[in-house]
Amino acid sequence: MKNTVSPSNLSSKLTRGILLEKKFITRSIIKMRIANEEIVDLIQPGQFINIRVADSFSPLLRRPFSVFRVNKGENWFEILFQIIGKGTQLLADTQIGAEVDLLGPLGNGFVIPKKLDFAVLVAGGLGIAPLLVLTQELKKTNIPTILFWGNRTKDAFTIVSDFEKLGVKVFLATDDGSFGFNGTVTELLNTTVENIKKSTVEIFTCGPNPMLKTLKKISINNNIPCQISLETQMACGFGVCMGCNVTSKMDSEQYKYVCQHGPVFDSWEIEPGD
Amino acid sequence: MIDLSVKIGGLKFANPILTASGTFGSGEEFSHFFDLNHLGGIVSKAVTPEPRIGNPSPRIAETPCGMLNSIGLTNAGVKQFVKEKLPFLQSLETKVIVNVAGKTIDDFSTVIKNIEDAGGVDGYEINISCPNVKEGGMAFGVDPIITGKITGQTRNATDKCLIVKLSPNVTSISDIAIAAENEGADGLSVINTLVGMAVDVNTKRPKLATVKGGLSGPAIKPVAIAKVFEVVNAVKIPVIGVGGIMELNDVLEFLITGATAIQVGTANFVSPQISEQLVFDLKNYCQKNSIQTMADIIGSLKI
Ligand SMILES: Cc1cc2nc3c(=O)[nH]c(=O)nc-3n(C[C@H](O)[C@H](O)[C@H](O)COP(=O)(O)OP(=O)(O)OC[C@H]3O[C@@H](n4cnc5c(N)ncnc54)[C@H](O)[C@@H]3O)c2cc1C
Ligand SMILES: Cc1cc2nc3c(=O)[nH]c(=O)nc-3n(C[C@H](O)[C@H](O)[C@H](O)COP(=O)(O)O)c2cc1C
Ligand code: FES
Repeated sequence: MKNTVSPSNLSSKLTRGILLEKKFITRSIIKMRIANEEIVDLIQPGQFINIRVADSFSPLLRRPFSVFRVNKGENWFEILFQIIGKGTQLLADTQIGAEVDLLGPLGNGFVIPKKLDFAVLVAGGLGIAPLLVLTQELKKTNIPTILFWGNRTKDAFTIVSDFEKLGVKVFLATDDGSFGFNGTVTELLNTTVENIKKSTVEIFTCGPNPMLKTLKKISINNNIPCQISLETQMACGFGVCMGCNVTSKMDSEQYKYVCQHGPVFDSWEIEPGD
Repeated sequence: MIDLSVKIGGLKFANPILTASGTFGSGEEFSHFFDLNHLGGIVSKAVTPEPRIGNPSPRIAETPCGMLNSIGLTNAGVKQFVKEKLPFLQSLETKVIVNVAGKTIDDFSTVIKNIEDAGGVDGYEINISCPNVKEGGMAFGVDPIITGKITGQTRNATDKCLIVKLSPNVTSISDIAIAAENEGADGLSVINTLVGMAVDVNTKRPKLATVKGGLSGPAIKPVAIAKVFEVVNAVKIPVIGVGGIMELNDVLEFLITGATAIQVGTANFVSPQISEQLVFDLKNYCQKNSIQTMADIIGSLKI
């Protein structure tokens, strides 16, 4: 185990933001815009913010959210999240203009390689969240980008326009066939992977673990480098509780820690959990 | 001038606010949030003779007003600790206590000797109360005879401040406390986590890979207060109160009950600057209430 403190976590800030805007994408998916001067300049694609959703002991721990979009000129960032429990419900209930208790940015994000013909983004469900900031960054270096996004239903796809505005070519899949390809996003990717691998590409992905496992196989079988953003339970988010371990593939005697070595890993480094 | 200082054995802490083992890394992780020298002391995470990778994932589950953990004493071993963490800890002015764990009785003094040979720290906290390891850990801390043995042996290994950290998962915490006192402990930390368990009703699986884990956070504070009460009435050496401290009132509650100092644990995850804040809050409280020394509060419980 690398016994050193992650430099990116050592520059994180404990600060407060102001909730500027919240938009319901579906009944349970919300996009929130938060103003804060200290954090925005530091944010790298793939990093996350640990939010204390209420000034109470229940829920007790902070809740981690990927940064969805940043606007450094206007000093705000956005998160995109789904209400799945008490913490996310309380966050969703925050009033416009209220303060939000922030800790971040945390973790090590995506690394954009110098020589790329194009970037392949693959998202499952809310795994779309860290990929827009990445797209913003890819756009700066003029790397063409395509996105494969799978969802259970078509409801969340209104977000797609945020990607299309940045010039991304988007391919969609739904489990219920209500929109786009009828099937999983990895099946969708498989239909065209032979074409993709002719160019110098890299896959950037986030989603549920079963999807990430399949994608890891696809990337290895086709020899395409792949960066995976992982989620685990977290108590601290900055490398002290040792609660966020994942199985390391490079060194079976060790674990990797999502908040310290990740959340973004090269696919060969780790084995996503079940 | 208000004097917040407290003494445990021969060791003087500038104030009674310390951080709890396993919740404060080696301090460095918090150094950008505040000046660590404002604290009374820092207790490092557990150090064992050999590296330990710890338990499988998931290791964390949140529970009402608390959390379960089954970290399993993850650490890089004493050799790496001496190389990578000790120089930083030795550079601090605040008092530094290293939390020591092991699988065998001898392991504890082995760790201490390794650290002493490298210049040492201000004191050692003997962790015979970790519920998350199969060998050693809590198995030692529930037995007064083994507790006595480990205390005696570590006492021989160092003249520094020697603190024994007790488990609440026992029938009589006083018996264990007395055993440690008799073998030369300078102080006792009370308490480590409570054994707990949580089940995911959808998957019908335990929320922790190890099935059971250690409960910490505000949920355990009343238990910790009761255990501190029992122990201060059983021994003469100072007691350090640990368990669920989130705000000033919690600190006061422990001090009034008789704790000489306190440790902040799980709260560090939620509010990384809370331990420093508590030092300021305590100072303000003393100012407002014309309290000159900690002796005015410690053990002021009225029954
Ligand atoms: C680095 C990182 C980045 C994240 N980014 C986002 C994001 O951008 N958008 C977003 O919507 N969510 C994101 N998450 C997940 C988010 O943190 C959780 O959904 C949130 O903490 C749930 O809190 P809660 O109190 O509402 O639910 P809880 O009451 O804590 O949980 C409700 C149920 O969901 C399960 N659960 C909790 N967390 C997760 C998880 N991470 N994965 C799968 N199941 C879970 C619980 O076991 C429980 O059964 C991220 C997580 C991590 C670690
Ligand atoms: C994630 C975690 C790791 C811990 N690791 C250790 C440890 O290595 N050694 C130890 O003696 N106690 C350890 N503890 C116990 C704490 O030091 C403390 O006794 C306990 O959490 C109760 O205090 P709290 O409620 O303020 O957290 C750990 C606790 C947590 C939550
Ligand atoms: S969440 Fe605490 S170490 Fe990663």
